[in-house]
Amino acid sequence: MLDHTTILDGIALGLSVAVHPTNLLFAFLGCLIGTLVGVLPGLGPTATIAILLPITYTLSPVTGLITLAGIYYGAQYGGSTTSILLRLPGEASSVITALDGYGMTRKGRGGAALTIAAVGSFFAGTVGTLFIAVFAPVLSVVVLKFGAPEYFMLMVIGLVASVILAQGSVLRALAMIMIGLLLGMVGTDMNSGQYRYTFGSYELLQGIPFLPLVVGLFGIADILVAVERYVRDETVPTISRISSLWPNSEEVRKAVPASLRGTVIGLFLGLLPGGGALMSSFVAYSVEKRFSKTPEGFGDGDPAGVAAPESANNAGSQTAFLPLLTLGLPSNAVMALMTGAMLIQGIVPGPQIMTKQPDLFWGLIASMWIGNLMLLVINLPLVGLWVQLLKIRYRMLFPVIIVVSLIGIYGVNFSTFDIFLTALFGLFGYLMHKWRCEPAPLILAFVLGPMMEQYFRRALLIGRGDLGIFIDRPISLAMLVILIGLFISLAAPHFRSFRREAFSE
Amino acid sequence: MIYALSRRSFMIGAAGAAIAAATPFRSFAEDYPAKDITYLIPYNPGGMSDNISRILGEQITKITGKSVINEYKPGAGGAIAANYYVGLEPDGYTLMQATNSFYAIIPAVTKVEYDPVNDIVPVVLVGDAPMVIAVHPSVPANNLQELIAYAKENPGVLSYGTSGRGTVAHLCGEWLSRRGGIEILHVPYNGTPEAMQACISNEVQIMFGPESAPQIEAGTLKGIAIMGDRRWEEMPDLPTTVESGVPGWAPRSWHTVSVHAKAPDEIKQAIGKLLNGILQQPEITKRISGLGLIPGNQDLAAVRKRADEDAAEFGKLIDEAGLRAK
Amino acid sequence: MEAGSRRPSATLHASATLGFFCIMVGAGAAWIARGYPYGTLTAMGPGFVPTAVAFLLIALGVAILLFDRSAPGPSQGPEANGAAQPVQVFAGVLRGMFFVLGGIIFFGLSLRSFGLAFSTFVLVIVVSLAQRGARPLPTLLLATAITLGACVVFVLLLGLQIPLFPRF
Repeated sequence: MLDHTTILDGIALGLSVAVHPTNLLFAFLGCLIGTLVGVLPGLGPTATIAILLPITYTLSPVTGLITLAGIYYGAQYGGSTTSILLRLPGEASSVITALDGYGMTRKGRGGAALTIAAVGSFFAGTVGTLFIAVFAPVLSVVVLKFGAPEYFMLMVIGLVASVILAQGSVLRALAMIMIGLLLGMVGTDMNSGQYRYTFGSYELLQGIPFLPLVVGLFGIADILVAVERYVRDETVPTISRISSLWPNSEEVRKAVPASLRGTVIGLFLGLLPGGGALMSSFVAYSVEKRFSKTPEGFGDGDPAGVAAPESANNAGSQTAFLPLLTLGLPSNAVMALMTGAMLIQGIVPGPQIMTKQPDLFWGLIASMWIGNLMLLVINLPLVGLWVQLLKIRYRMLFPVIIVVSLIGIYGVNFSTFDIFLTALFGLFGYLMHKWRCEPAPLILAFVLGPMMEQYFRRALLIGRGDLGIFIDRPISLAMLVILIGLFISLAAPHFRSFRREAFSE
Repeated sequence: MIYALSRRSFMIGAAGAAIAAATPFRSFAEDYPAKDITYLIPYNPGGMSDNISRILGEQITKITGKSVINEYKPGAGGAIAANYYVGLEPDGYTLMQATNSFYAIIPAVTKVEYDPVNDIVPVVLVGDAPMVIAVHPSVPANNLQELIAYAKENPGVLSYGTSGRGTVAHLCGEWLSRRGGIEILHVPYNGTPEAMQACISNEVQIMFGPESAPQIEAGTLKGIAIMGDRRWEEMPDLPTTVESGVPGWAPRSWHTVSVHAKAPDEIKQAIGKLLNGILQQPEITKRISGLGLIPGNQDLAAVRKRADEDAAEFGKLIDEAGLRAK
Repeated sequence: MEAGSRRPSATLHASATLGFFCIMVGAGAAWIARGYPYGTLTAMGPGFVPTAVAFLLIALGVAILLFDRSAPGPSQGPEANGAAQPVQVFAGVLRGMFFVLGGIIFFGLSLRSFGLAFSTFVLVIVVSLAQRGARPLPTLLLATAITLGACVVFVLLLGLQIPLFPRF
């Protein structure tokens, strides 16, 4: 375990690496390119990094990794921009931001929403980086305490949270969750090799790809709805004019505590392999809605509904580096690319990276913070530019959205099948809109469902078929208790109102 | 998550302007390559196949002046890419970064639309991925015989993690349980890193594959043996399974650059010559070992023979384990 | 435009169609899953979860049909009027849907063989037709501009491996 002086020395070493002019320059360039590419719907952090990876071969390993980290942050943040302004999430973690971010845009507060997202992300990134610097060794031990039963419990909690998130009818939200689960099951079952719901298609063996689903349900469906409204009302669809780019005092008052809570949630849930960023933004949003004095305003542009998930997913993207930095294990697709980049540079990522390559380890941590700072520096001025997008007449904007999304989707798998899927999900998203069903629970279920099934089956495989594995392990048991508490708190209002009714008679 | 990229088309900076024309410099007489080469990667970017392709692609461009464009088609353990590949024009201008799985395992465990003998052919051997048997440090065994003995005394205790059904690691587990006469439980994970994390945290106890090397070095896992009959320079103290008293063939994984079997023979020869020339450079050998591979380079006939041997041996194991696709 | 086009040509009940949809999807999913080994709760086969989820979906569909007639609508999306419960289908909607979805499908069909430039150009023109009263010249200009932009950004700058021009 590290003592204080070691950590301080480490941070000092890291900063000395990170503020080297070359590294600063490349951190800036990485963030800038990442932001510009990430703003194109479809091209998320993974695709952006993969495209730009060869650039880094000519750089020293530290500079190369700093550039990649910059691209990662930039691309992730760029996804939030389209989410907020056009209700077009480019990746899982910005699905939630679309709910209230776009709500704010409709109210003419899109500029403020972008600013809240940028500042909230920077704050969360700063805390996340410090958190990693100080607690990395402890956290790596915590990560290893999490096995299949714990992850399963965590995901059930997330799914329950998404019911809270649903607006309106719980029945409809549950129906959408079931459909999301079914869509998530398409593909090859990992344990048995059985093909499920693939309809004889090779493309579906790998499961339904994420982007066509999200772009269909959000982007294309919205266009269909807008075109319909135009037909019905003969009004040209417009979005309210953007007033000030800065949040007003009431927005700040709502956003600050939300950002704090979101950061804490993101720090821990970011450690979840695979679905960390998505889970943390969902849970952070649900928490805000649950504890808000005005939960009815959520979904309609509550600043807390932007600050919380944005802070959470950015805090989560810092802690997602942890398994890579302390164990040498990439926890998601972006980290896998970073590992690949290290290997090509001749660095074998492993548990000893901290002691064997201290300049790399601490340099990367310091540049995480520098990267977040760059992001703020780049994006605050860009807020003014992005909101200009909304001035484009809708009749010209919507073909652009379609073209850019479709090319982005094709550019991920080079499969025209994905384009057809987008059309199909666009139609389904339109129907969902007519049914007044939310896409968000469906998407959470789609992402978490297959993981939940895998973790549940794996837990029982490891427990040799004994359900006791969920209560024998202390962390799993604690989460089970939290889950029961959640159920009670969900049911409590109904129970109370039932009692009130009963007594009033 | 994939994209294709032109390795040469990037300049640093936001503008990233494409530089198309490179000075054509031919180091050998044949006309191959007369145009840009597409490099099909059947797995996700950032993995071993991608890393190999990036090293080789860079060199191909350096030697021939032609761009190498990566295209990624992950899915179904490589079957999606293989099916796609055989549908392309067999002109030798699309290479596939394959493994022996494409010849020996995938056609047996998945329903595929290609023939591993008549449709694709390995032109060079890039290197062997040493299949290291590693265990969690809490397992009271320091060598293969002790591990087998421990598993016999404690049936139903040990399990092994892999990145999925029908992978080489899974077949290593099947091999060990059959040859050792022990019962070990297969637990599939979503990718090797997840399986590795599970093994470090003792959720599973055994791992097969080269990825364990840094963990063994750090003491988070314990090395037991290396599959087959050849030791690995990086871990010279690790005995082979043959030395450890389990004679005969053992599953192994090796990486190859493959092309259409129907491509013209002189093109295949030219690709083989070009790539073997690259693989013989000491600097490249070093970088290939840096990826965790035992570098090797073999001519077409030798690699083909190895692929056929593997197909026969893996086939027996797949049948024994009941993994063959109906 | 005549006022008649503003009158809904069909009115459907949201809960009725949604409930029916859920039951159909659930039944279909359960029917397909009957071929997957079922297993038990503690040793699940690949068919366990799909079957369970499918039956839950059927149950939810029934519940929606029976109990969910007056649920308040969400305030999400560009159209935020939660009051209107019946789904109104307008003749013009089918036109919009036809051109938007048709444009996307055409793009998917033509991209590989006709290249990015041609496919994008046609896509923009087709989706623009979704709105009545699209004028020819601005539409052509828009299509040209978007096509140029897409080719420059995606192919030249990002180097995505998409053919620009038709391959003959």
